[in-house]
Amino acid sequence: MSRARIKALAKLFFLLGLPLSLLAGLFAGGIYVGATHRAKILSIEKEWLGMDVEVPALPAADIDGAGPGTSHQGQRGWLGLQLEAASSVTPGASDPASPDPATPAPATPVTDGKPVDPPTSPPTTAPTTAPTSPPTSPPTTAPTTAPPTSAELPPSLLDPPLRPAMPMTVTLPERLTPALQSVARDIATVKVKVLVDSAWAEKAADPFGYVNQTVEWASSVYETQLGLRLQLQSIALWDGAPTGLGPKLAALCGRPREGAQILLAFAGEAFTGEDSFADPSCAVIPQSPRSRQAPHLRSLLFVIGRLLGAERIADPGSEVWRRGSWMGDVLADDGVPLWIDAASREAMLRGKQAAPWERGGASTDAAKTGAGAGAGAGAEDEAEEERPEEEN
Amino acid sequence: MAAKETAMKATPEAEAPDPSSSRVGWVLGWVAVPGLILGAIFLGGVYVGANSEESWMTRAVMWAFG
Repeated sequence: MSRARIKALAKLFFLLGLPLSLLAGLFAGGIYVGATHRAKILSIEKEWLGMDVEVPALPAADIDGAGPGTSHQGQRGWLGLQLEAASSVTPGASDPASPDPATPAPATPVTDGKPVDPPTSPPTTAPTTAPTSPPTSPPTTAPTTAPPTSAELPPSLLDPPLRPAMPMTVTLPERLTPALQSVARDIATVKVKVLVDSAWAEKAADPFGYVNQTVEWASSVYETQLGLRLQLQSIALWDGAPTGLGPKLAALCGRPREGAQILLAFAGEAFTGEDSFADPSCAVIPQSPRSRQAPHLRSLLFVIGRLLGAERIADPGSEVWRRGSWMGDVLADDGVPLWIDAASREAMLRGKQAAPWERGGASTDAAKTGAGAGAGAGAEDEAEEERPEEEN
Repeated sequence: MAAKETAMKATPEAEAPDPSSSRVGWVLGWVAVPGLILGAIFLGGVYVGANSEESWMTRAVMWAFG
């Protein structure tokens, strides 16, 4: 090859190939930034530009403040492998605590590994098979078949999902301090009684099933993130409930609780931002008109958070509001993932430690229960139609 | 010779541009317009990476840089 031709090729490379490769690298850098910050960019497209995009839940790596490179630790590419080899880092030394960003946050109460209805499903299978089998079959079959089916197989395979999945995605919160982690791991169960405003219930197709689902969804969220389980004790129709959140609250707190530690009322009024609870065991749950599938869920999470001592976030311009903390934008639509900010979560955990209805609330609750049961025993029958949880 | 003299006389009048307009032109030509073009290319990549997560371009870039 002649020298003139080599010179011409070099000129061609420097004048054409190098600028083109720089532009391609710039475009590739944009793709990398877009792929690693996908959730934030899509939320900006939806909120600021009004584009019709589906916003995924924020990956845990972004929430924990990790860099963009850590969100794709599972698929190290050519450049990552070269850098790893250069820095002599072992490939298996990745942080095991950081979850895979490809898997979404636990959104449904069925998929988080706990049984949907512990008191009903496991005991019903064992006693029915055990008494019938011993006369005909040898006793070796009964112990070998019954326990492994309930212990080894997940309940979602045995029992079909009884209730639909939560219509909102749940975003994982930020990491807690070790002291609060132990508080969150300690599961506390709170018994809840719910009254349903009859004026609103007439418009709903299945108000009791809806209340059951909503409380169960809220319980799964709070159990996952705060270790607080809401055990629905009973649902009752509230006939003749006064109009307005304030009068409803005044009338609600005097009603009998029947052993429940929290008395809630699902109301048809819209959320106004005002507190709708009187003491830590009595609250009215307004609805969010913008939520079509679970209009009381975000409001229920907000009220429980207030009962636990978290403050309401009133600044719509704050970052936690824009990220969708349920202590802020209660009126958000179903597309906004459920998320709790770190400050509110810490306040709730401290409130969970001090809540009178968590463990030591039996004494105060017993007084209210006894007083309420004695006072409202006569009016109970004509005003309410009790319905146990199992019937739903 | 006569033509050369007229050319020598004409050049001083042509070489007196407005310094402020030349500076604006320099900023527009070397900073603003290239920055806009390069920024648009980068934002196009961001859009493709965020909205076309499963496309071959995104997968190739993530394989290379990830």
